[in-house]
Amino acid sequence: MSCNKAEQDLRGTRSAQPVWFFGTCLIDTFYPQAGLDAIALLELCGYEVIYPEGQTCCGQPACNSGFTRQGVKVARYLISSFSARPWPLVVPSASCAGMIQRYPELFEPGSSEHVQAQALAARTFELVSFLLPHLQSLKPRPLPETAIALHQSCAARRETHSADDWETALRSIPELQWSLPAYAEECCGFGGTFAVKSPDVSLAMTADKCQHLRATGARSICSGDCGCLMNLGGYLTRQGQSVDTPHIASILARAYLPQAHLSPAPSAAAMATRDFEK
Amino acid sequence: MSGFNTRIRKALSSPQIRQSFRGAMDFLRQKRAQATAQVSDWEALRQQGQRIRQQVLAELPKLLQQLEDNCLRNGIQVHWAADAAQANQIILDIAQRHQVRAVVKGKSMASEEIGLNAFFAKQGIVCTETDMGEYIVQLAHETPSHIIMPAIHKTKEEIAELFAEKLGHRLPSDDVDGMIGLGRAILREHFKHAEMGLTGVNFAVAESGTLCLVENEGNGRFSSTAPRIHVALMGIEKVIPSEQDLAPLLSLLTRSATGQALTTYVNLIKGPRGQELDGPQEVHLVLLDNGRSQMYQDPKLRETLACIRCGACMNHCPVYTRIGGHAYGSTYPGPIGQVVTPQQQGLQRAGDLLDACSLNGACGEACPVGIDLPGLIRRLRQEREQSNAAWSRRLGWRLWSLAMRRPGLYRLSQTLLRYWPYATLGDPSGWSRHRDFPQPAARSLSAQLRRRGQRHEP
Amino acid sequence: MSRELILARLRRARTEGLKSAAIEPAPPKPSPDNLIERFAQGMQANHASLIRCSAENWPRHLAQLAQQRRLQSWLLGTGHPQLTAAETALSSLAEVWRFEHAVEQLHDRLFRVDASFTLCAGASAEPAALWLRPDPNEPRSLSLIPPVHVVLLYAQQIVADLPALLEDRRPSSSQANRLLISGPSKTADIQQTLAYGAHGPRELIILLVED
Repeated sequence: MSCNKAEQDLRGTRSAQPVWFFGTCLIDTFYPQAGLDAIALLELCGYEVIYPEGQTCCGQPACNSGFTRQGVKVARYLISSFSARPWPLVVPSASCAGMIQRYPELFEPGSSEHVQAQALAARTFELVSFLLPHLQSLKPRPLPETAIALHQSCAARRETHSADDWETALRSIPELQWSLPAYAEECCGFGGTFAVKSPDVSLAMTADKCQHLRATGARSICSGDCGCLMNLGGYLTRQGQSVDTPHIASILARAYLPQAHLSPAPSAAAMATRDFEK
Repeated sequence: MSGFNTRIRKALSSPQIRQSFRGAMDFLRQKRAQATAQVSDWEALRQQGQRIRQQVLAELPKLLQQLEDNCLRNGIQVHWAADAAQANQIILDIAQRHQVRAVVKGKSMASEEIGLNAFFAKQGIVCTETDMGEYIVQLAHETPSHIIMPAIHKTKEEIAELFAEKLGHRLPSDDVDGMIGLGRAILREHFKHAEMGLTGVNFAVAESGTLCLVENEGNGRFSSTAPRIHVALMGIEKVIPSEQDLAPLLSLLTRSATGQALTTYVNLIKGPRGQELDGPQEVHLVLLDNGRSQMYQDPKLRETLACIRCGACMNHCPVYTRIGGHAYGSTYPGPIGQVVTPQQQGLQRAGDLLDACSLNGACGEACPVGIDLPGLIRRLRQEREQSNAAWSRRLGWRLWSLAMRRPGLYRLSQTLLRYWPYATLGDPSGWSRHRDFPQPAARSLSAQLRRRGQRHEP
Repeated sequence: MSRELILARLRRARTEGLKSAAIEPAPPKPSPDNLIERFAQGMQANHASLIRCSAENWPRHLAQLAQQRRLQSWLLGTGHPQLTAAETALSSLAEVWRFEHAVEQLHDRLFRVDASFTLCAGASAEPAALWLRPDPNEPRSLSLIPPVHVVLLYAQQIVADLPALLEDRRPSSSQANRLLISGPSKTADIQQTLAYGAHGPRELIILLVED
């Protein structure tokens, strides 16, 4: 499929396959550009993106902190938001996608809620893993001037198993300079409330991770999990280091989207911390 | 600040701890990676191990009785200890019956768990640790900082200094052979004279009444061969159904623990000397509960008992790698310790261990028998909050959950975030003490999509 | 009584959810034909020495070993014709003791000899390991206490892997102790530095007899 064909498919939305899109609370609140880029990529690949209004969070913060009952309520709410049709649910965050894939654990086996959770879990996909088969038939533009370090999130490695897909996606972009840091498999120290409840060890982990990421020589740190990016970017800016922290969707968008589709300044500005846009 | 957080801070500020553990964990991770790559289908082997351990849990009471029957038949005396105090008393009774004055110990985490050395010392009986790492730790009046490599926190220089001070021999710190040779010579004297040897058990085979000890040094072999009496102490979960299960479990254990295809020795003990010319005249097996039957009651928490104590979870844990074993203040450190300890000592006392986990999943990924360690930590956090959470935290999460189910409230909270006066009020989470808080976007993704008319319903 | 208490508590737990399907042992792997090479490589990687010899010349190799390494006192078991051959080969070069009485009567000797020589019950290629079944003829201490342990292994005793080795349920007069040995005693407890001869033999030497 060529770009033009994709364009045509995009226009003929009648025939496009619909997918649900869960933007996640972090992207909705702090990193909307990542969401816009993700949606544009899905549309490029021929999907019609349905974004239910009123979507919020997957409930992970409460479940990970031990307030499972509160988390379950939020999970129930999310399930109801995305269950009117059995369409795929695409999530631009491995961590949140992993959480939704774990939903069945939250409900009594055999209950109707459990069945619903199982059904949703089975049709939930991390963004890049979902896109990858389609991207392979498109022709990306070279990004010679870009050098990035890829931060594989723990959820991408161990929950959604998307880490390899992230690498494959970046590898598909001609002339893009990208690298993995030493200790790529180690956590960046975010872990949600972990960063708050065990601040010292979290900080030690973040400092190490940033050191390894910087050692790659790249000025940009890219990942598919905004929690990690918020942690790494927040730490580095506090250290007075200027660094871009684009979501991997924004990198892919720059390579794959037709020029006309690209939003202005899709690079760093989209993700940099403390940056008002628009 | 909790004691745990204070210990964490202390460990993090020690360059030596940071360096020792980083170096050691890198070493062990790399060894394990190589060893697992040698197996044609590691994942299948792992699943086999997981199935065996699940079968053990499914039939635990039956297997323990079978083990007991077969041990008795083989001439091994079997004792049951409900808790640490009982286990200590049982072992002391055996010792006193035989006028034992000196005990040599092979490596046993279960004996650490019950505090055997301290208990015996009070009774005037000297227990000498004979695993080289344990011996070093005992000389230094410390506790193990790792379940497989007890003295992993110590440098060669420190050990050379320790030997000079305690053993009266000063050796160059790069003469590791010399130091081990010194330990060997001294401990051989202990082996010659001790009346009782105490060891742990890696696996106990129910169908044959066989105790399996896995090691590289020979301390377990010596402790179970030279003294007149051998006492083996094992957690009740260490039982396995049959001899057929040994090969896969051994492969999983040694590859995960030290990256070896097999340890130097695998010692299968089926009883006292009988008609042989050497070996102990009596063999005792002490089956230790100490909270395990309680863990067994809950279908999820029961998974804790699948553990084969290889240490891979701590070797791969980014928290353990940075703070080392002592910071946990528990017999078992790292992820398995964070799961075992609160269940043994209570959430009130040891629940704060659960905080030092980012739920990154490296432990679960490394576990050779597929224990869902992150899931167990999550579950125990839930237990802790259900029983102990302060009202303010309960209220906080209740409000959060409410806001996440009411789009209006959710949007309101976004607005609050946008206009929160950080400068004057700071940030209640404490996040911004070390990291900048990202600025909420002027227009949220939802708002932008609404504005451009993104389809939002089926 | 604790026994009843513990068992009762375990029995009380609900375990319906747990599968207890019989575990099927992994399908046996096809036996690789180069068992001997794999065994030899594995053993050498584990720091064991291997001397390849024949049914005729192994006693000569043993004698050579005693001479070259200056192993002046040896401890052997009893009862096997190979041990008589070994004793004959060694006797002009070294003191040879037999483990004939209970260990208590031998105690110090056991700690003073330079080397021991034993047979073995088998070996596996992957992982490389010797299979020993100590008995009244060849007691447990022989493979543990002397600093050098020499083992006689016939190539046809080598099987593919551990499951094949552990299959060995031959009854013996005493089954109290069975052992896998994959090299000399070692430890890495001092800053991950490998040192040999922690408690057991510093050296493991295998006389591998090929036809």
